[in-house]
Amino acid sequence: MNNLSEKEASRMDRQIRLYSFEGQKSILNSHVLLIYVTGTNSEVAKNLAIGGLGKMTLIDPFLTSEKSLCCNVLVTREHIGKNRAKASLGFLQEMNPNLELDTADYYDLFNRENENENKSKNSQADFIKQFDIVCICNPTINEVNHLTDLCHLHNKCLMVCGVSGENSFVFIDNCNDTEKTFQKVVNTPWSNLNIRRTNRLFFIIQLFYISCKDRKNPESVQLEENDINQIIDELSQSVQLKKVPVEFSDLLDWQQNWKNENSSTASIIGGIVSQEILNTICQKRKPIENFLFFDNFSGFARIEKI
Amino acid sequence: MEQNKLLLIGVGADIGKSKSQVICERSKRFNGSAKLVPLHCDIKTKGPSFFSQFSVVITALDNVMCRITKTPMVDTGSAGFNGQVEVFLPGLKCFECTPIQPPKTYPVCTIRRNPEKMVHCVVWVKEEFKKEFCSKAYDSAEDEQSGELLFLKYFDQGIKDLLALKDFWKGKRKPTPLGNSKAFLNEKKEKTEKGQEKNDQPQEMRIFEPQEYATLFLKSVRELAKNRVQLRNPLIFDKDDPLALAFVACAANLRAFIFGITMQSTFEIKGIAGSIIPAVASTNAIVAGIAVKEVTNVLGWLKTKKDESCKSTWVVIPPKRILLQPFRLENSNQKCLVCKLQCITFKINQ
Repeated sequence: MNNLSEKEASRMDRQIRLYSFEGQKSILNSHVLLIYVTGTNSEVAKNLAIGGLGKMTLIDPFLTSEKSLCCNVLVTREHIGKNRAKASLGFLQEMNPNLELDTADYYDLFNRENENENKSKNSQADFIKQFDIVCICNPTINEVNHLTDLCHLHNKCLMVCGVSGENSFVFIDNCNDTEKTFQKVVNTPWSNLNIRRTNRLFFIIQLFYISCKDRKNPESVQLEENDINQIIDELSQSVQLKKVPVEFSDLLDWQQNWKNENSSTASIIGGIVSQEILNTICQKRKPIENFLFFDNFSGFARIEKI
Repeated sequence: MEQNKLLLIGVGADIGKSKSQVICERSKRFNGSAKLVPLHCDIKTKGPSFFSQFSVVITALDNVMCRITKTPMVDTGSAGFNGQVEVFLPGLKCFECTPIQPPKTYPVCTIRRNPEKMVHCVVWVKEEFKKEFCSKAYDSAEDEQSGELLFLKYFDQGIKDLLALKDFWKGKRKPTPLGNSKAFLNEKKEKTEKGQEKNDQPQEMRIFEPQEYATLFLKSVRELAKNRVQLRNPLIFDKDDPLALAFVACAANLRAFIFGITMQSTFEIKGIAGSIIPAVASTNAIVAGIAVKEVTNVLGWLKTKKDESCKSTWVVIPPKRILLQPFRLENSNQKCLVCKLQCITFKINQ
């Protein structure tokens, strides 16, 4: 176990007054995995680096693009065309020279199309073992399910966030309940919900993930109103619906803006997620149970247990 | 120390430079074509003509000039996990419309006679520090004995004087005077587990035996008296001055020991004495993100004069179900002495 030097303790004085010396030591001895260095995850990485995290691994198969520059705090114009994870290391290291940084290959953790080329489930499970917390941004349902399986094997906390323009969500699976995985929660039939009290965004997310199924690029799936209505019928079986809680146009907006971020939302959600990560590491308080819905237009961020 | 809270203050090489300069230099990486002008000065030196040139001002404290020039202001603040962003538009509620809670004060009797918490001890010590080191200059002849004399005054005779008020102590736990410093230091105490636990913590986070605080108290008084003589000027209490902090921590802990209050580490006492507000980068990032959104709302308001989208927001610790709570902008308090025209009647007693 690494100990906190006097210099580091002095630098982190204001944070130690919140998390305690022991808490700060736990942060120094933790390892977080961030998958996809989007604007939001770049803010998470930045806050964790400044917060004195010991080790961070980044996975991102994508390259830095012009679009990254509007909200990704770790990359600049000179990084365009370079791998987004590798491009992020420089600035992170500058902010915290003591932070141990690493990148890993997407396929160290996830499966390829061609099954023969996959790493074994054991090797993927071994890979996950080294982390304390895993956080992924704007994933497909397949990615979340795969991570859920691996994380539950080794009791690793999984955080999922999704941004679509002004709307966003955070979901946390602390491995406390196998019935509360992302897949199960997202497929909750409406008979188990108080429809009037449940956040509108939940229904949009539900329909989004159910309709896009296992497609790799949910943002480019052709959504048909009939198909969506059918899904709504299945979800709302044995429920007397006075009014459908979500319109087809809401779902289209969500899909069209999937992965569209702005610096304000990235900063807010990145701040919330990094705080949940530090709270979980220090056991300062229980993590959000289990959803947070944020709408940057109205300004409300609500926690709901679904 | 700010490196923990602020993104753009760099490591190492940037320490010592002006914050505004470092922020401007580092922000260029995000947008090379933005014009950023650092100004390293006291904001109170800037007049209405300075503020009139801006569409909106973002602050971390109230600014009177914004009200005078009717410049919209987005005010931000954070403390620990809480934070807020308040938008002040000309014509609507100003910063002074809602009276601010005055700083917490304690009854004089609690501070001087019967402290019950560490904070009472700290407030008392700070008052004594001011009396002893800040209001007069000593000559060198007095400082040789100053440690012993102060020890007796604070922890022996001072306590005996309090105990003389016999009626006051009926039914209350009486404080125990320590005697003179030599006698107190000779008292052999069995080593408690407290001293041996958690040895990996930095010095300032550990809690020591009262005798160790007594030794350090005597030493710090000697040093403080010497400094006072050398400088020929009264000292000021500065929580970042290790000597002043040592004096306050030792004296507060000895007073606590006398009154049966649990002693605390120098780290914790520094927080109390310096009114240190804890901070984390994540909360500041949330507040900053909200502030940026409100600035864009304000710029929209400047065009259309419709304030429907501008709002103030509170950031609240979970487990409350609402983490970010927005509020509609309020109208001015009609009785506000600052933003409303008011007539105040004075009566002069002749």
